[in-house]
Amino acid sequence: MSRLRLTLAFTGVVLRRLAHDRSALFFMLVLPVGVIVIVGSTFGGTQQVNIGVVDRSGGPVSGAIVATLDRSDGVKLRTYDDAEELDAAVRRRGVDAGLVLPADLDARIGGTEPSTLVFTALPDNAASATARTVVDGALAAVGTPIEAATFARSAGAGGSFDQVLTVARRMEGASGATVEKVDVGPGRKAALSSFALTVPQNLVLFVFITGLASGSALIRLRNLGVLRRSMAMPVSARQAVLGVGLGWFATSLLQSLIIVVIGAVVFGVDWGDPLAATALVLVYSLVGAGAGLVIGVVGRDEDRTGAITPIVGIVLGALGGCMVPLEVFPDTMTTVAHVVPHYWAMVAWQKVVFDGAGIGSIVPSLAVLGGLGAVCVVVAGASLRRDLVGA
Amino acid sequence: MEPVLTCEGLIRRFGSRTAVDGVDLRVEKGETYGLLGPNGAGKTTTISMVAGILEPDAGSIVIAGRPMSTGPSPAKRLVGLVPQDIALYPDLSAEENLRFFGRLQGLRGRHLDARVHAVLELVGLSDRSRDRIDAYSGGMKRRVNIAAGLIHEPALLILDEPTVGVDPQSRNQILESIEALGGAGLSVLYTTHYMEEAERLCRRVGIIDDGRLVAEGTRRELVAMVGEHDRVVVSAEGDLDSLARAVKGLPGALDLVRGPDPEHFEVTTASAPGLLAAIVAAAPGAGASVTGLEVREPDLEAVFLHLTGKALRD
Ligand SMILES: Nc1ncnc2c1ncn2[C@@H]1O[C@H](COP(=O)(O)OP(=O)(O)OP(=O)(O)O)[C@@H](O)[C@H]1O
Ligand SMILES: [Mg+2]
Repeated sequence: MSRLRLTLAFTGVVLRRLAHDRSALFFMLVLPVGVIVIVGSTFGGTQQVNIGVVDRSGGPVSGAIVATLDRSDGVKLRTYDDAEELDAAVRRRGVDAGLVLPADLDARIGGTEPSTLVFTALPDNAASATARTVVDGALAAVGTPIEAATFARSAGAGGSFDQVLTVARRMEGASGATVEKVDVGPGRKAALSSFALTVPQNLVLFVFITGLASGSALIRLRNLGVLRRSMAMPVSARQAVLGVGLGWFATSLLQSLIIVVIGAVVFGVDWGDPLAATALVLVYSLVGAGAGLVIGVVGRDEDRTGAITPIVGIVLGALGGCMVPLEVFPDTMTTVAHVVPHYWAMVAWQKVVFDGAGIGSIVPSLAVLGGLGAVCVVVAGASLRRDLVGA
Repeated sequence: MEPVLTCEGLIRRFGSRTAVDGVDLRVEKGETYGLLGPNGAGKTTTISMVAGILEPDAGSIVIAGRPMSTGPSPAKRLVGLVPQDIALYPDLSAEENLRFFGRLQGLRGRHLDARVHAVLELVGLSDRSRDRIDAYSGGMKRRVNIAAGLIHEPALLILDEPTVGVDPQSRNQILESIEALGGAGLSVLYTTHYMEEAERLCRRVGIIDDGRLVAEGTRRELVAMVGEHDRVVVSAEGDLDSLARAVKGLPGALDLVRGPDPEHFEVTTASAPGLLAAIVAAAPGAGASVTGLEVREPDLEAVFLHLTGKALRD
């Protein structure tokens, strides 16, 4: 189809020029990955949870709980001699949370009387919430075989409680499923990997910044007169916009793909449902390219636009949850954040990456982002025509 | 034979300014037509409408029988526009630029390859075709700019002041290639504010001023409008206003125009010899002294002066 070929001629030029442009490639690819590494490892420090433990029991069950906690990803365990010392550490924020395993813990296992574990943390503290999840996970991991053993004995299985417990543990190890079900699934993993949040945040941030940056490239093309000149050929302004936009869409897509792959391979990010993640990457690349087209068609001064857009990109990104997670936003901020595409993208990524949600649960975000991208392309096409031929 | 270009009643306003005010043009097949006018006369605005990159407020444009529009009109395949300013991707090579514009004109495959080579050859840049445009000299950029307008073998080549800001050598090269194209039968619409270029290249010239075509014809026809008259260029010092008034009253003096600068004015006369002595004699009485007198054959410059009362170049 010859009209498509004309459109693709513009796309080809965009990509060809990009391939020539080392600095653009640097800003597009090297910079985001660098930022991800820096931000990821900086926040890695704060996202690691420090848990203090006092083990008064010293038996096999309390030992198993301590060992499980110690093995958990992103947990740094400190042992304390008594509860007061631990409380002081929690109050000083020396640790994010404390767990006291009572002296009667092991003794009461298998009996009818419950034993009480004491979890201490400061209120309104994200790290302590994470610590709580970790502790719950550890208790479940250790507790499930114990429950199984208790159940088995009460159901009349022979042997001592300890023997039954050992058998139950082996069974569980063989099936491998019991522990996974208990709160150790994607939810906990996501809460602990510092990159699971920062890589999507930077993906959303940088794809949009790249889109805006291509806007000043379009202003340059207009100022150079190449676009106007191409209007002297049998091509429509819409084809030009589509072709150029397609080039940037492809660029954004490439950038996304690289961040996704590096995120997965190097930083161990689990991107969740492939269909949902792909759809999100596609519509968000469309938004980035569309925003670039609009800036490129409306703007006049390429240098000034080029200087302002990264700042705008960062501010919008911060507003949309690319710097700090949306959960810590006050309510009014969250309401305001709805106006930036980043917000919709981050909400969707959190669902996909943290909650393991499928494409069905991110439909609102996909619709908003896709609609926004399409509107941008249409608006840019119309304004470019007005700008180029004065009609 | 059907003309390559016919436009009638072209009007274009920018806000309250009427940049082009009712221009009619006709370019015959194989003809090189010059649009001659000073800065801001409306040359670029006119040809932008002709090339379909600017919407006219009124008027019609027909290219070899096909209506031109700002949309993707098929008439655009017949026109090659060479804009006044270099309109090329500076970070791509000449070849890449030409390929791009060739594709937009619907060329592809071997035909596109062949055309790219042919136009590079024509502008003498075959050996530099892989260099980036921003590594070219000003004259070379101009040549690629022209090549891009020729890539699809248009029926009408429109050149907008292609020699502005170009060194004499490149300029000559550009003029020669345009002469060659004209000689080969291509129709050319050439805008310039250099009278010599219009005289050298164009069979017919339209003189445009303030958005209006004030005269049109061959050089001979235009010069005849001034009459069989000589032009006397007077250089003087002192009270030129008073001297000009005195000269205007002399017997034999016809038109008088100030310019092109404050120390000069021009008088047209049927008989130069008699007038020269009279001018020199009139000077002391007017408080001025004549520093030079030059008699010129009438040319397009004189025609422009005669018609508009202004010098072509400011
Ligand atoms: N896009 C525009 N917006 C506003 N005014 C314009 C625009 N383009 C041209 N003009 C005005 O229209 C008039 C004619 O301009 P045009 O560029 O056609 O002149 P020109 O004959 O090509 O001059 P030059 O020899 O300097 O190139 C000028 O007064 C100019 O200021
Ligand atoms: Mg001009």
